[in-house]
Amino acid sequence: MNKNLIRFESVAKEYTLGEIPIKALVDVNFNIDEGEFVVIVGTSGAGKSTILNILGGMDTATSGKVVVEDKDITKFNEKELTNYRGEKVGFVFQFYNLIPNLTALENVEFSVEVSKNHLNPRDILERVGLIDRINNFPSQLSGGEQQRVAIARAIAKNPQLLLCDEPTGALDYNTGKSVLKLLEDINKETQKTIVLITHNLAIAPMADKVIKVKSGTIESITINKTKKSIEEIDW
Amino acid sequence: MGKLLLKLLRDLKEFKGQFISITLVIAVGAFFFAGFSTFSKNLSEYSSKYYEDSNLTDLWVYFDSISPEDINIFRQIDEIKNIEGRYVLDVNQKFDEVTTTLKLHSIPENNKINKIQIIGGGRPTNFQSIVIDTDYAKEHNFSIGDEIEISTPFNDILLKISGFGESSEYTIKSRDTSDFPPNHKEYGIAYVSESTMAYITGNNNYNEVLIDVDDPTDAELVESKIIETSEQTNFLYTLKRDLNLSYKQFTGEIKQQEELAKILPLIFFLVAAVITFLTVSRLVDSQRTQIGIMKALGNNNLKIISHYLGYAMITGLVGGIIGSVLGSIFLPEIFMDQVRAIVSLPGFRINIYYENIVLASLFSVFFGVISSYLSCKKILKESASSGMRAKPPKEVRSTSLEKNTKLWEKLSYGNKLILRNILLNKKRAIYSSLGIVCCVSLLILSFGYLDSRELLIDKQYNEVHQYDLKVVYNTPIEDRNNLGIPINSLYYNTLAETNVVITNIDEVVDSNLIITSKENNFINNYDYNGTLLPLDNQGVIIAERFAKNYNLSKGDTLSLKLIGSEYKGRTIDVKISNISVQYINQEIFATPELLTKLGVNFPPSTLLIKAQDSMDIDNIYNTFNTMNNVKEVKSIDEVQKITESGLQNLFNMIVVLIICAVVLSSAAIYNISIINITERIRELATLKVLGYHRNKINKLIFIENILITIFGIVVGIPTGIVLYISIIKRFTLDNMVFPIILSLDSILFPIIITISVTILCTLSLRRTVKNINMIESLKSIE
Ligand SMILES: Nc1ncnc2c1ncn2[C@@H]1O[C@H](COP(=O)(O)OP(=O)(O)OP(=O)(O)O)[C@@H](O)[C@H]1O
Ligand SMILES: [Mg+2]
Repeated sequence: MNKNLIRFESVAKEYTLGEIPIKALVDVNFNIDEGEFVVIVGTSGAGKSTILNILGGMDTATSGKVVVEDKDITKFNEKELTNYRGEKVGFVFQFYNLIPNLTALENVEFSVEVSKNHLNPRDILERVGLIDRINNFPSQLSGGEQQRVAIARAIAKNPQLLLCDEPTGALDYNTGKSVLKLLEDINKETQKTIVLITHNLAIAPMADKVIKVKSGTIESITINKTKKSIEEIDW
Repeated sequence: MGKLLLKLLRDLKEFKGQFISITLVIAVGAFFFAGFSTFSKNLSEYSSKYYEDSNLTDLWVYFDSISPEDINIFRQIDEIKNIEGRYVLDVNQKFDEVTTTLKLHSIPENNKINKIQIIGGGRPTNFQSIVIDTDYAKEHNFSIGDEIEISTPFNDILLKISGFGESSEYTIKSRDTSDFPPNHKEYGIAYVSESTMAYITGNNNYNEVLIDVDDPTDAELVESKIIETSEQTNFLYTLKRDLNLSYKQFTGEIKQQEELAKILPLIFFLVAAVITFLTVSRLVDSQRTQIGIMKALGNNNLKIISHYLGYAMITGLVGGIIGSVLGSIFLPEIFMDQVRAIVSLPGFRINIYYENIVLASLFSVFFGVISSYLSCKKILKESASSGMRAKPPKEVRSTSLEKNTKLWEKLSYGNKLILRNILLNKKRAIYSSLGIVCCVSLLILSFGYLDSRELLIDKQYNEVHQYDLKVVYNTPIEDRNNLGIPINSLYYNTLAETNVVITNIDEVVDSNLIITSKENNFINNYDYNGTLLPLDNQGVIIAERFAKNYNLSKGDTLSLKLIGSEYKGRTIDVKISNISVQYINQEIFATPELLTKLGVNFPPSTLLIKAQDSMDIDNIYNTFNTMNNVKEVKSIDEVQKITESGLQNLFNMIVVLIICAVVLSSAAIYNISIINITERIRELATLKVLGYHRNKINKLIFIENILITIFGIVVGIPTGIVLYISIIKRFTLDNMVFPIILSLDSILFPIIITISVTILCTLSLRRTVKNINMIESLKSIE
């Protein structure tokens, strides 16, 4: 049994728009262990991104505890949260969010500036299969290639935790699949904990743990005894 | 349209910082535009009405003496509407501390030309009554009914003040060109009846004839006819209206204001236009999708365009109206305070001209509409569907700087990012720095002007004039040893001064001839390089401006007609042996030896005095002032003070200018930074997500702004110097020339101020950066 890495304890999130409070998360509880590949699924508006954002230190919970490595990040001030994001977390978004004025290599190099025990950006880009394109600007790369750069950027920091919010949402079937393959490989090779949001229930079998979210609460948590490789999955 | 209007108002609210700063810059432009035009229009309307109402003469004709009967011969000239004779002479009034000069005029019962305007009391109809000008009366605290004693060359006489008055002939009460700005304490204008004057002079004769011509364009013709007709009389010379000293100075001042009214507002309007252009471009870019939707929903181009022009209309109208109303009210007020110190304008009140407000607002709207039209016309070419698709990514290239790999490698990624940002958006960076360029230029102009002013005063009163006191005697000095000069405590030089008319150049111009010896080192002439130009016995030294005006150069000959009855209209020809810079005044210098050679003798009547110990100046002043044969004593410090106060007007204007320059650059920097931030909000949010600390992000923005500022400064310095030189040249008055000089401080201060403004603006943006919401900014692609 692996060591516990993340604990959500009765986490709630409310947005107040004018008079009416919107309950994005009500009472969210779950655990994630080190090295786990976790997939979060749920309908649109269920609260998946909210969970991920709180976990990544981009947003704060209204109440409850979010424990990462035995530290409650809900108690962090802005500076600590920034350090947390810089050192511990790597993000991959649906829309890549690369910096347009920096080349692929520079994007990666730029992001590791804030992390102490980072990896060699060039090696990482080689690992994601883009060593020939390192001097290209984002606008010169395809969507899938940009997403690979984004993944390289996230893992080059050598974070504890890789958070991916619908990383294949803007990609076609094959490209999406290859991106998922890359994530799967990284999880295997480096034992990094990965939390991935998807609309696509079909890819749930590739996860160690599947968390289903519905209307701001956890509907179910399933642990896959035998996970399938993404190559075996079709949808 | 209703919904579009709602969107417009919401957008205005969302970008309120930007729209407020645009409005501010427009308001400043309108402020200057309306302020200057209101001011100059007030002055010119007032002056033309004043000159017309008072029937300012078209021609002055000077005689040694002419009887009232003899002036009737001029009535035969057809073009003449009216003539009036008068006797004019300088008289003195002695006070404990000063002896003053009054220019005393006789004035006929039925005064039709150069009508005086009585401000209080009545006309000097009674025998032995006098009207004096209001400024002189104020300086000496006179009130109606006071009796004053004046000494004339003929006798001393007691006169009763019947009233105070002003004449359009003397809007600027300067004794001569060397007396500017006017010294109201020591020089005044006064009027007595013809009978009082006859009592003083002992006869009814006139020495001046005023000619009122039917059609002012005939003045020249009439002048030549008069010269013909007056062969038999002891005619001296004539002077046309536009050569009259006070008329020339006053109308010159109005022209200057009009020049400024053209240049300065344009600068502000241009900057406002550029900022509007950038802001609306940004708005349109960020609302590409919305525009596509608007089109898909069937709105036509006209409707969409007018929607975006709405922003410019609103900011233009609001800024234009606020700025022009404030400008019309306050700017003339600020200027008038000081103008009044120099120019006497009885009954002057500042009118607000609504057409100026309308015009300023129209200009404001015009500049805004043009610039926002330019920024949104490109989007209208696109079809509805292409508008709704995401904007194709801007092509990013390696910049030229990167070819210099060594240097490039050394830069941090943050700095690379900044440099690429600037180099890839060169146009934008240049527009952005435009505000800075204008700010630096205006500041250099302002500080440069202060330098010029200081140097002018320093040169004039420490280098050109090196005496402490100027003592003028009633009569030429026959025997110096008899004057009782306390020679143990002072050094002195003598000089003679006389009026001359130069007759062999384009116009008939009167000037001051100063006759003093080569050895007199209390008045010095210099050329532009600061080399001392000594007098010689071969020719005269004239002022550089004068030479330029009339195309004269070294070696040319001047014909000087000597004014003063003893010379009987004699003319002498002199060679120009040198041309000197004369900051204040335009005088002609000659040595007594030169004039003796030409057969004229000018015994000196003036002493220039330098105290051996400057502590003694007051004592020496008093010694001379109590002497009976001394007409007046002038202290150079007093003259300097008056010059300084006369230049105060421009000083106030400089303060206004500095404030506006700062407003301009703050608005520009603030706006550009905001645009920069909103445009790159995804990028900044990404940096935040990546774990960049806020300070580091702030630093990136700061460095970028500083680079733009530095670029603006580098361009602004030469631009500012050019602006300064051209405006200072326009500022040159007939009797004052501003030396062109820029001290290091005048370059440094603008740099420091501009950089401080950038720092402050960037600091004020910290909150905007803090408020960037990572999640919202990264949610989708707009
Ligand atoms: N800034 C906000 N202000 C108000 N309500 C918000 C805000 N962000 C999210 N919400 C609400 O919180 C709820 C959860 O949103 P969240 O983005 O987590 O959904 P999601 O599961 O990620 O949906 P999707 O699959 O569409 O991305 C939604 O009902 C949404 O309307
Ligand atoms: Mg989501």
